[in-house]
Amino acid sequence: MKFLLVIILNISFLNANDVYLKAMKDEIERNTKNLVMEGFSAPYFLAYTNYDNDYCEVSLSFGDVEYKTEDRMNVVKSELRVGNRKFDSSNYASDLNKYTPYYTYLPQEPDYDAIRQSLWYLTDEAYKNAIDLYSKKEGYRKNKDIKEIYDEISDSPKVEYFQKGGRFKESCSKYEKILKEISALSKKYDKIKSSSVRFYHSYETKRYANSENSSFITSYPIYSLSITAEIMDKNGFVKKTDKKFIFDSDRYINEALVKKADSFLKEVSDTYNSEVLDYYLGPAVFEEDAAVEFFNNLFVRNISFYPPVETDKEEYLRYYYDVPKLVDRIGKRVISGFIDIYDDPTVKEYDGEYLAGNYYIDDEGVMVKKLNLVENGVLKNIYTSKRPNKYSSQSNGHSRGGYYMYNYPTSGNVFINSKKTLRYEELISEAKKMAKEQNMANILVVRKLSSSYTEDVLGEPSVAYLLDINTGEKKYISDSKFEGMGLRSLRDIVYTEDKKYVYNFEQKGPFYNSQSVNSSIIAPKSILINEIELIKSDKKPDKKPYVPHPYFNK
Amino acid sequence: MSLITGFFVFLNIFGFCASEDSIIKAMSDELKVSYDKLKNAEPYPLYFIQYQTWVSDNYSVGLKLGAITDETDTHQAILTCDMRIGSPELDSTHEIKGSKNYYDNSYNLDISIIPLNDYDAVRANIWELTDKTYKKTLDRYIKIIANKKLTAEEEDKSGDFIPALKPEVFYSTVSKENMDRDYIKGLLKKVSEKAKKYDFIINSGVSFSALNNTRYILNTEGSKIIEGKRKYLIDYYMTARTDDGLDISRYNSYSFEEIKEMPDEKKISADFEKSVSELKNLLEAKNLEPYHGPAVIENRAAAVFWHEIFGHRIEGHRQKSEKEGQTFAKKIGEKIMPDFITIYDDPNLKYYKGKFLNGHYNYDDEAVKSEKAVLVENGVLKGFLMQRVPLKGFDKSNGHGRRSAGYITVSRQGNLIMESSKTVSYDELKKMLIDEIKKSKKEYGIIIKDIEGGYTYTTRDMPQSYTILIKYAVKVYPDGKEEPIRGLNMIGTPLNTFPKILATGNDYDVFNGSCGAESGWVDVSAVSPSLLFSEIETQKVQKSSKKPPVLKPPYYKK
Repeated sequence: MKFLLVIILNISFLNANDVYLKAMKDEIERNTKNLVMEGFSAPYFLAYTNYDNDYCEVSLSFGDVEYKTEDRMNVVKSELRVGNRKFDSSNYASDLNKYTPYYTYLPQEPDYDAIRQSLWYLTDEAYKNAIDLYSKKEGYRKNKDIKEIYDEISDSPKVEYFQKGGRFKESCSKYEKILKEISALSKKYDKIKSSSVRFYHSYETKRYANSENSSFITSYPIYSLSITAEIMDKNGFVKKTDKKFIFDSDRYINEALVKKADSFLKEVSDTYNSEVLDYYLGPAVFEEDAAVEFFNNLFVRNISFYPPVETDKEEYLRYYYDVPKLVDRIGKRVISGFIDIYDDPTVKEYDGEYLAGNYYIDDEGVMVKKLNLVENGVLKNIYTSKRPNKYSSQSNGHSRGGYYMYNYPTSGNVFINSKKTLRYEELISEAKKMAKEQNMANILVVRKLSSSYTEDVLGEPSVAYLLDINTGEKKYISDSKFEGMGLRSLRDIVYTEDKKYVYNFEQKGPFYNSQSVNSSIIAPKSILINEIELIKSDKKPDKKPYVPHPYFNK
Repeated sequence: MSLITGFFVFLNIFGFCASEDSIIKAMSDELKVSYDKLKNAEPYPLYFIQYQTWVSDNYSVGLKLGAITDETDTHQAILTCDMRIGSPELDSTHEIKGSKNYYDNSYNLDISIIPLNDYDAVRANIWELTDKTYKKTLDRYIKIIANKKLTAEEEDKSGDFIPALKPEVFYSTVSKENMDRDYIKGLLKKVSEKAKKYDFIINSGVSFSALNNTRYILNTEGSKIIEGKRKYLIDYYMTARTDDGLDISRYNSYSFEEIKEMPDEKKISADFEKSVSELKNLLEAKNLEPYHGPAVIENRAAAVFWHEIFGHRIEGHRQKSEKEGQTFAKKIGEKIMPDFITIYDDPNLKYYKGKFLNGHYNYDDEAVKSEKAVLVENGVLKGFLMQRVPLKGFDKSNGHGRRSAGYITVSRQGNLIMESSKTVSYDELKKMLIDEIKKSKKEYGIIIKDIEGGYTYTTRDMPQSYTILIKYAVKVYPDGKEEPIRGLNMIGTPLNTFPKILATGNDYDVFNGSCGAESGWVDVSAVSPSLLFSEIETQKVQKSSKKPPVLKPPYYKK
């Protein structure tokens, strides 16, 4: 059964007035009727997604602007399917290196003819490619004995959703003074070898139309600030650490942000006096960024991106695609029993902080609502798109993509709640108690994890220290890596802090070269894991600079 | 007088603006400190450092079918650091022979995008890049010492570097002109929307760019070069696809230095329509089967021919590297082409017979004053394009060391000019072609009117041949009738091709473009009259297997 859902948030931005959307709809109509090559049928499904971004960008280092630009990027991607709902050309990669949708640039001016010209040629190319893929996928399926076959795309209600539109209003120049102040903070820390600040502000309008008469326009501002700092610690190990802030309003760009940036740089600077760690086995506290990165790397990404793309190069898939590992555990315990998790992209703020994973309609035109993921440690649901699979025949509104990335099911705003909480001091005391019982002199505190795409599901600790259980002294540790840290660790959480931590970040798609989508995790600020094994990294230290830093050696 | 003292005098003379001041002062201060500390930091002496910064201020706008597709303003500064460890006889830039590791002889250098105003910020960036470069240079020098011991003696023992006899000082910047952007966009709009009339054009576009670039060079020899360049470019393209899957296109460009030299809409529109007509001709043209026989290459296409086939092979570093074919290395004093041909490269020229030359510069990227390099005189090979790397018998640079940011400098072309003492009018040249067709008893000859570019293999591990990518050509029958053809590239080897030039036109024309090679992209020009060949050879081009679009453009039949 099909339903019609119409939400118009601002009548001044009706779709009828939007030249881009009109051109998209008209070209969809023409192509689904007339785009036929001899011996083949016309596309049975065609959708365009237009990413129209006004943006400005500023890069700074050491208190001065390195680069700034103001531009507009207007790109459209196509989703064209030949075949039918039972079997079509989609979700099959004949070459895993080139598994990206067809996209092209649209004119910056809303010129109907020029927009349609771009769509016309894009669609022609996409159609010919779809026919080619259809035959290859057919051959692949004939050579396999696949028992579980699902439809290619599920039915969903017709949606028309038009959000208030907007255009870029403020250039980055408005923020240069405070950005220079943030960038100049590195002048306070002589141990930081180099640092950079990148500020990005865009007004992103997304337009979508498909051949099932669904369409939407969303429009929202984004402000992001990334700070990267590189330090060579006293042992010669180089570490690059970054911190990202994402907002929807410039009201967050204030002195409080400067303070947050300063505390990040101070901590990076403090890691100069790191000690080389030979081995650690014992309790660990993951704090702030590290706590949410722990949940993201071990849990969220392992219930995303399912099902993987089909390919006859199956043996290579794991090198290209982040294949989720928890999906077959629905109904089973995957995390400590006192933890509940849900995802609700419709929430815009938590405790006064903006949530970057906020949206109301996903990239396939499906309205989203709260989704229970874990109850009492038991996995209840995974993220799904309109691609039916073993666990779900319907989308739960989490299909998200980019102009050179297909849509994949993944997170929006992930809320992680715990029923076994302690105040921070109590949590540390508990960790110390566990260490004492194991005759350990220290507990490990992990503050930040690396985000590299590696075989290791968790990444490596990029900022971590040993806390002396008797003196309270902190000793940062040089390059090290987790040993045997897998999904099991989710069930090794013994306590969580009673305070929450909001983490806005870019969730990378499943492929090694994927784009990212904005996401949030709202999790306990600290978590205590009963046992972590940490070993020395294989990396060798670098030689220190021959000449001292000119600024700190005046 | 020390290098640094001399430099401050220089600053006072020219009175830099604030951002230039920061960049130059930071480069100068860091140069002094780094050289002092690094020259004897290890047992292997560092004997040369050069900083080079490219500051660019660019505007570009593109339109398709009357609508703006992109419009950008960029302003940035990129720094590169060159270092030499060892001595001019053998240093860290020496070729590592026999290595299978690509990175051992890579032409890439690290770069840093540097801030534009704050002295401390600029200097911190330079310091970081200097340390990184020193460590890599040291690593490479140690490998070179071992490689020299392990490999056979080299034929050319002329060394690795030509030290400067005196510091060079030069200052010449260009001002940014006021442009009426609305007028320019209006002009481009009128031209670009002409494509709507033609259903066979798949894609098209017209663009304008204004580039203001300044190079800042400082080195430990005391040279300080600041040279600005301004250029404008208008270009358009249009593409179509034949039924047999050949992608065809027409392209045209206009380079100029002052906004007042910009061609008007009438001129560009007329050229655009002519290109449309040529594109249509190509759609209807037949594919040419492989051909050998007489041909004319028209002036602008001939300029590209000289650039690709001769110019690249005469670059100095190719005569020295043991990986290179060294086509002309030992032919100095020998006749390599007809005696009516003289070729030289002179970057000092800004115009040739009133036409703007994009390859103009005063100083190269090694702080050497550019000189006219005579390459061929009356058919006899006289010299090479030289950078500060000596060759056997050549121990002086003629100011052709060039690169773009992030690459090692090698010898490159600037304004390559071919002049002839045996010229006839174009009409006469065409008559001579017809005579040749009849004499060779061929059914037809060929006139090559437009060349996209080409490639020439110069290394020993490949057949050292060239390929010229022909964009537009016609068959010429003995009765003078012309018929467009498509699907052909000109191929051959240089030593076999040049002697087949029988005569030239008197219709000198200029090709302005950018050339990409080992040392990145550099602005170049080439000048030539039309050329008559007794014989050329062509081969079929590679084509896509794609069919033309199924539907007509949406705006064509609404």
